[in-house]
Amino acid sequence: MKLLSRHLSALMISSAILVGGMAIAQAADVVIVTPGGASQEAARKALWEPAAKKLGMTFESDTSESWTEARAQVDAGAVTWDIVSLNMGEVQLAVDAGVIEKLPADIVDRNDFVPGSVNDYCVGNSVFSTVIGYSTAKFGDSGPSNMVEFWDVNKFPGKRGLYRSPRGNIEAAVLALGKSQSEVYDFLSTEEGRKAAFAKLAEIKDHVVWWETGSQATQLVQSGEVDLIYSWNGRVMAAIDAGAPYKIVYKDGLLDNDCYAIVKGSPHPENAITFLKEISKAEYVKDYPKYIAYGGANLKAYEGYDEATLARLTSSPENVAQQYPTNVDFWGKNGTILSEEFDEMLLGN
Amino acid sequence: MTKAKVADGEVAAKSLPIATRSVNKTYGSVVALKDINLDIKSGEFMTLLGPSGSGKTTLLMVLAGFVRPDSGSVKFGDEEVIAKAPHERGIGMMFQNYALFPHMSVATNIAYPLKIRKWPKDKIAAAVDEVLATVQLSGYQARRISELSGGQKQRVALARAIVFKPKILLMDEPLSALDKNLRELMQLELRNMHERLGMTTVLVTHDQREALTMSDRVAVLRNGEIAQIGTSTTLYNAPETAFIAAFLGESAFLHVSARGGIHYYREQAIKVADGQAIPEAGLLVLRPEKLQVADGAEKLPDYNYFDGVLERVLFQGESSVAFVRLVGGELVLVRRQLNESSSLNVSAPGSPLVLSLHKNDSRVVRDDMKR
Amino acid sequence: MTLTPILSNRLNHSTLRKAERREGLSLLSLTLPGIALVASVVLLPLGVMIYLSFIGEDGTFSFEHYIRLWTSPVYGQVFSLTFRVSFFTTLLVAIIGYPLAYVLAQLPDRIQNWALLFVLLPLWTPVLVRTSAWLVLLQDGGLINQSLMGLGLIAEPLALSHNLTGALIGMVQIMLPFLVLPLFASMKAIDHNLMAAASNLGARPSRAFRDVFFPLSLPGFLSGILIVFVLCLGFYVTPAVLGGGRVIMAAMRIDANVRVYSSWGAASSLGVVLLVITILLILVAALVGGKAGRGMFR
Repeated sequence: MKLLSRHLSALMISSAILVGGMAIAQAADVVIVTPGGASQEAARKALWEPAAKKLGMTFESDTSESWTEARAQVDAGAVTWDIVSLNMGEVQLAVDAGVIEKLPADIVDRNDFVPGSVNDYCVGNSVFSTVIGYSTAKFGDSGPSNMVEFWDVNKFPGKRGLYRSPRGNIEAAVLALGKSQSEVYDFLSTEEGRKAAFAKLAEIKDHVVWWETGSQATQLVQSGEVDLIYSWNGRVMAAIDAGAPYKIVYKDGLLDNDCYAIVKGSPHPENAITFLKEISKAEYVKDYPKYIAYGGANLKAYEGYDEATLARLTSSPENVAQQYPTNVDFWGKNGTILSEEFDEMLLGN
Repeated sequence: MTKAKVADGEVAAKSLPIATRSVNKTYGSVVALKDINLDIKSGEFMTLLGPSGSGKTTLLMVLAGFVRPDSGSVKFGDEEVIAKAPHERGIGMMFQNYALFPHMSVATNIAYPLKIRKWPKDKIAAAVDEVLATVQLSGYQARRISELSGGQKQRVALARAIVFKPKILLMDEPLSALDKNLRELMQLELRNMHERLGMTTVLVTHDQREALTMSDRVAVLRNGEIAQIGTSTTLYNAPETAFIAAFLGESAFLHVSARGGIHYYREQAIKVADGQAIPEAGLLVLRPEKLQVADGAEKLPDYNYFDGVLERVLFQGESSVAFVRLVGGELVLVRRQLNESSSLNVSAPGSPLVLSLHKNDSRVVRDDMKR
Repeated sequence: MTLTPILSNRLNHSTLRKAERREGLSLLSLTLPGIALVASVVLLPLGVMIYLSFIGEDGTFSFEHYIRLWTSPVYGQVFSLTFRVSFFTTLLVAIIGYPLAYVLAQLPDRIQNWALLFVLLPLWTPVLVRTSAWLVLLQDGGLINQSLMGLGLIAEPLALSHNLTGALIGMVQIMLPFLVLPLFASMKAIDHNLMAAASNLGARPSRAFRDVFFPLSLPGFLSGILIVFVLCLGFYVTPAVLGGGRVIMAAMRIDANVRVYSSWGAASSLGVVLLVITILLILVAALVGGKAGRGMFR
C-alpha cells in the first residue's frame, strides 16, 4: 500500500504536469520533510519552530519514509520539497540519482560535528544507533552483554526482534562470529565473509520476529512479544519510557546518523540554505534530546548536558566508546546484492 | 425403474383426486387460509380464483408442498401428503414467470425431471422430442432459454411440467406475463392439452375471464376462505353473494328489503324466478347484458321494470354501454350488441327511459360487500 | 423544378446520414473524459513502468534488470511464494466466503441490511489498522493465546503471528468482502422460483443446489475469486506485519528494490513480470473455467 501511494503520488505529479504544466505553489518560505513519527515531532519543537521564529520565516513539514519519494518529484520535474532528511547510507544513492544539491562549503563547521556526519551533500541532524535491548523481566540485569551472547539462544532463550533488512543485522552476525568491531567491514568485503555472515544470521532465524517499522519495534518491546531486540535506540527507549521492563546494551551497537539535504530544483533554495544553517546551530540542537532519546550531530550542543541526559544518548562519549560506526560506502556499494541475499536467506530453509 | 414403468404404463391412472380438510395457515396475525375443505375430482380442471391476498396462491403452494399449513390434511388419492417435501410429491407445476433454468438448454430443462428420476438417456431424448412435439416446439431442443419468446417459454415450461406424466398439474398464474391475444390462444391450448392428457389440474388466476373459460369448476377465494365453488355457469348465473356477483362479470346492485316472502325495491315488488328462496333483505344483481331497454308502454307480467335517465353511451366496438341513473340514484350499466336496432342508439343523454329485467334473471344475493 | 422532389430526397438522405454520424461522434465525445482518465491513470503509468524496466543503472537501454530476475535466486522464490500465498488465501476466502454469502442472501431483508453492514464495516477501516488489530489478537501475549492459556487449554502460546499462519489469517479476513460482495449480488439475482421449480421436479435440496443454485452463482463466485487472487498478488502491509518477515511477497520485494537501487528499472521489471504472469494465469483460468462451465450442463 505504501508502494502504491508512492506510485500514485508520482503519477499525480506527472499528470499535473501533463495537464497544464501547472506549478504547485507553496505558501510557506521553506518545506522540510522527515520520516515522521516521534523524531519529527522532536525536531519540530527543538529545531524548526524556534529557528523559524528567529529568522522570521514560515515553514511547512511533510513526511516521507524513503528518499525515493523525493526522487519521484525530481524525476517528474515537480519539486515541492526543499529540505529532506536522509539516512547517511542513502546519501550516495541520492547523489548518484541526482536527487540532492551540493551544499555550500561554509554551511556548518565540520569540526563541531560528529566525525562523518557532514559531507558535501548532507548535514547531520541526529545520531542514533542500533542497539541490543533485553527484557529485565526475563533476564534480570544479566542479559546478553554483547553480540556473541545475543546470538546464544541456549543461554538467552526467547524471541528476538530484528529489522527485516540486511542493514545492521549482517554486521551483527559478523560480531556474533567472534570478530571485533574493527574487523566487521573487512570481513564482509569478501564473498566468503558475506556467506558466513548470512549463515550465522540464518542460525537464529527460527527465534526471530522480523519487524518492518520503528513503531513496530516499540510495540514488540512494549507488549513483551520479544524478549530481546536489536533495534534503534530511540525506539527501545520510547518503550522503556512508557514502562516496559527493558534494558539497553550499548556494547556492539552500530552508530549511524540522519542528515538534512536540499532537493535538486527545490522551490526555495536560498531559504533552504538559510534555514538549514540555522537549525544546525548548537543553541537549538541542545534541546533535541528533551523530546527523544537521540542526540544531535553538533557536538557543541553536548557541553551543558547532565549525567542523566548523557546516559540516555547513544552519542555520549561513554556510549560511543562501546560502539562502532556504520560504513556508508560499504552499503552504497553492496546494498543491492545484500538486500537480495537477505531475502533469499529469509526464504531459504 | 418402477417409476418409469408407472409413468408410461397404461395400467396406472392418469390422474388423482385431491382432497383438503380443515387446512389452516396464518402468518403472524394474518389469516392466509381458514378451514379450507376442497375436493377436486380426478381429471378435473379446477381454478382457484380470487383477488390478491385472497389465499389462492397460498392454497396452491400448500398443494405443491412449498407452504406447510398450520393444521389440516391434504390427500392425493388415498395418500396423505401434508408432511411430504415438494420433491417427494411428484406433481407438475408451471410457475408464474416460467422458472426455466437459464443455464440449461430447452432440452436440458425438459429432461431435468427425467434425469432425476434416473431414466435411461435414450428414453429421455425420446420423451423430450415427444413432449416438444406436443407443445409445437419440435426442433427447439438446443435453444437457449434467453433466445425464446414469452409464448415459447410458456410452452417449454408446460413441456417440463408434463414430461414426467404427473397425475396432478398445478399452474400459478401461468399466462399473466403474456399479451392478450397470446393469452387467449394459450388458454385454448392448455384446455385442449388437459383434455388430451387428463391429469387433475389446478390453476390459480386473478383473471375471471380466464377462470370461466378454462375450468370445469371454479373455487372463488376471499380472505382465506372459499366463498363459492361451482361450474362457471353456476357461479356467473347463480352467485350466492354480492362479492361473487361483483367479482365475476360486471354488475350493479339494488338494495332490496324482504317482507312476507316478497322482495321490494323502493316499495316496488320484485319478481324472481320460481322457487328461489326469499330469505331476507339483500341486493338485486343487475347484469348489463341482461337488462333491456323497454320500448313500449306495455308491461309484461314476467318482467321487472325500472325508471331511469340515460346519462351517456360509450361505444366499445362490438357493443356499446349505456350508463343509466335509476330513480333511486343507482347508476346501472346496460350493454347492447350494436347490430340490434335499439332506442338506446338514438336517445340523447338526459332522456328518460325504462329498463326491464326478466324474473329468471332477477337474482337477490346476500350483501357481504362491507366485510 | 419537377426534379426537386427527387433531389431533395437525396439531399435529405445524405443530410440524415451526416446528422447520424454527428450524433454518434457527439455521443463518443461523452466518453472522452473516461478514456482520458483510463489513459492517464492506467495506460500511461503502465507504459512508463515497462519503459523504465528496460533502462539500466547507467541510464541506457538494457536487459540487466530482467537478467538479474532470472539469475538471482531470490526473485524466483519470491514469485513462487507470492503465488502460493495468494492461492491459499483465495482458497480459504472461497471456502469461508461462499457459505457466508449464501447465508447472507437467505436472510430476511431487514436483518440482511445489518448483516451486510458488518461485512462492509471492515472495508471502512484502513488495512494497517485491521492488521494491527489482528496482531493484538494473535501475538503470543495476545487475546487469543492469553485466553486459551488462562483456560488451561494450552501451556505454550500458539504460533499464530509472525509466520505464514498469521499472514493468512489477516489476508483472509481483509479479502473476504471482495469475494462476498460480488457473490452475494449474484446470489440475490437468482430467482427463488428456480429452486422451487427444481424441487417440484423432484430434486432434493442438495441436488437442487448443485444443479441450479451453484451454477447460477458461479459467475459472481468466479469474479470474486479473481478479484481476491489479483489483490493478493499485490498485497503488502498484512503479510509484511503479520508474516513476521517469513512471508515476502512480490510487492515487498518491489519496495525493497525501489529503496536500494538507484534506478526505477529494478523495481519496474518486477512489476512487469508480475503483471505478465498474472495475465497469463487469468487467461489460462478463463480458458479452463470457460470450457468447464460450458461442459457442465451438456
